[in-house]
Amino acid sequence: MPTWRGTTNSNWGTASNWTSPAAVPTAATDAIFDNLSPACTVNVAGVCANLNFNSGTGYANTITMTNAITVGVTAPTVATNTAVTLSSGMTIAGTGGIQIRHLNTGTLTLTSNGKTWPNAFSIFNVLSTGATGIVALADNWVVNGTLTIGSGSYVPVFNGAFSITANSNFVIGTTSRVASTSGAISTIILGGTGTWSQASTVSSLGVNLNINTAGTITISTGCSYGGQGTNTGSSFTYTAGTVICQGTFTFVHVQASIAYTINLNGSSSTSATATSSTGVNFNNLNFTSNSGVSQQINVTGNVCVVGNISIASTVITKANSILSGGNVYLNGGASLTGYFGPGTTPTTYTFQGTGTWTESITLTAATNQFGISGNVIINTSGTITLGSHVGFRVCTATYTNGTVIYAGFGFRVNTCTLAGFTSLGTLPLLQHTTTSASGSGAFLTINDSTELQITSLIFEGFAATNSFIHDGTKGWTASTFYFQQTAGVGASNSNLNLTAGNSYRVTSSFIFNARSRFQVGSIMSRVGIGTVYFTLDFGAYQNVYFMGALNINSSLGQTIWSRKGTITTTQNWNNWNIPATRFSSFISG
Amino acid sequence: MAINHTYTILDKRREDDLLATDISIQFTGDVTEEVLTTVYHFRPETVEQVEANIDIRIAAELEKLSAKQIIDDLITQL
Repeated sequence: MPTWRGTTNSNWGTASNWTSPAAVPTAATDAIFDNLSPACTVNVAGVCANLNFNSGTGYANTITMTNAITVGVTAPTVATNTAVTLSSGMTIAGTGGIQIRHLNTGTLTLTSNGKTWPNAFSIFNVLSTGATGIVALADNWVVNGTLTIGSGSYVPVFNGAFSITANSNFVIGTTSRVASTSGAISTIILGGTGTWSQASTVSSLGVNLNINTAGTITISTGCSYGGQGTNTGSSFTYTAGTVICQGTFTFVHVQASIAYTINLNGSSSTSATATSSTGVNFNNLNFTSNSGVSQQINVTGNVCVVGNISIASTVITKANSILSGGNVYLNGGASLTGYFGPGTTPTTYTFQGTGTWTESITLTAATNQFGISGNVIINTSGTITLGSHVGFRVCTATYTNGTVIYAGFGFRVNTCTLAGFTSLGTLPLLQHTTTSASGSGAFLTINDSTELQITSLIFEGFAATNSFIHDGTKGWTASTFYFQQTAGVGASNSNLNLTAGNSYRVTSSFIFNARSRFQVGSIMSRVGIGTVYFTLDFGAYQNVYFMGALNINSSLGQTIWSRKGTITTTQNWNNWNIPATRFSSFISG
Repeated sequence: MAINHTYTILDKRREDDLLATDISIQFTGDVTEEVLTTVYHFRPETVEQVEANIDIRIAAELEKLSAKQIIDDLITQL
């Protein structure tokens, strides 16, 4: 393989300067520099199969990068490994970079021997099939020029628990992903002043990414982290530096994949901006998922969203974003075409700014695919406006402060605690869902100083034996109450369990119907010891069909007439036979 | 319009992992009114945090009070 001897002059492009053979390296031959090699100037675009500056005891002279060197064969017939090896004693002048053609049929090995590469450094692929190629880090690298990884749909898979410190711009050129290897996750450190940009938001980063700089990192709109390229231990972290977030950043989830961690020291301030010297404050933050069983993001510390948070999923029925732990501070609104599912540890989402909160109404409540799980806090000096019904799944929702404009919308809940919401006045709609995933029943816990006022209380998502349980320190007062077990659903025994000590009241319309006359087991019943008052106001409409009551006290209102329901130790409920002509009546007080 | 206020915590209790504070806000000056309300705090860690939440609620109640006064004035003028 050609070894540099500089016999004639210092020009790379002169054949007589090389030996064994005396030929300028090509894409099929290596370029070798050893301890006997003199200074070299890359006076033409350099090409070689492998680039080795560490032959013998290592190159100790100066290579002047007047042009770039492209390393790697062009079109192999057999699997071809590629290597770039620097020497600790070499000097690098000029501005030309190293471009590595990595073929997906071999391993690319990178060895710095502690030498900082001062210019651009890029790894790309000559084949467009999108297959994977191993990039093996033999030691830590420092690149002071633009670091570009990937091209086309190439998937570089980094192997080696070492780092590449990018002190200038960082570009992800592939539209697929930059992947990591289990047990040997490589790290990219953004260590200088530069811009992180990506060819596509779909592409994702699975190696560790750490921001640790005395300078400023600008994260361009369209950057992303996570997804299929991650492995156990993959993380996106902040250590030091000023970070400017532009546009929208995306965290990617994929189907049933390994969890990754983020630790970004976002600000908890209501006046945070997208430029921070103490952490990463996202301008807009998006979560993308095509998964019904989603990859979990473990959140350490705070995530700050200055603008809006969103979930934008590619498949509406697989729109699950799972976060675990940490705090997400929302200084704007939320737009969820998808749902935040429950993680291992609840994440706390705090609405502390002004914005609109919307959720796609095409998300299917009956299958638990809606809303936010975790802890939701509304504590703002601003205004949160609902742009649709919004959901609390497995959630504790607390209202502390702020203007909330319902705009005719309300909440749908699964297993949820609502605390403090009576301060906001009457809730236009509360839709309570139970599903097979609710276990023994879907809880609605109301912790408040007075009964929660609701215009329309709706129950839905009936499934076999899954009940609704209302507990907490207070009950509710609803204008209309609609509990209609769904026709066509399998054997359904969904009871409504109300907690002793609380009062529940319906003022206008009470519809409490079984699925069919064959379903006689469903009841309204008491949970706990003591009295539970369920009052149907005088003058209200009622329609109770094959639903019963157990240990309910309805003596403060009109008599409730149940057609064929089972009534046990209950006050002011009576059965009546189904007449040939159906009618409804009420007893006025 | 000059309105002063003081507040008294009538009751404080833990409800699961929430702190509930029942407060009485006494507004004086151009308007004299007492407002009773409850502020819920999710896992508060310091007294200052709780007091800050109460202060924000008082500011909101004061805005509401001022708005009501303006509306009442408009009604008398219409």
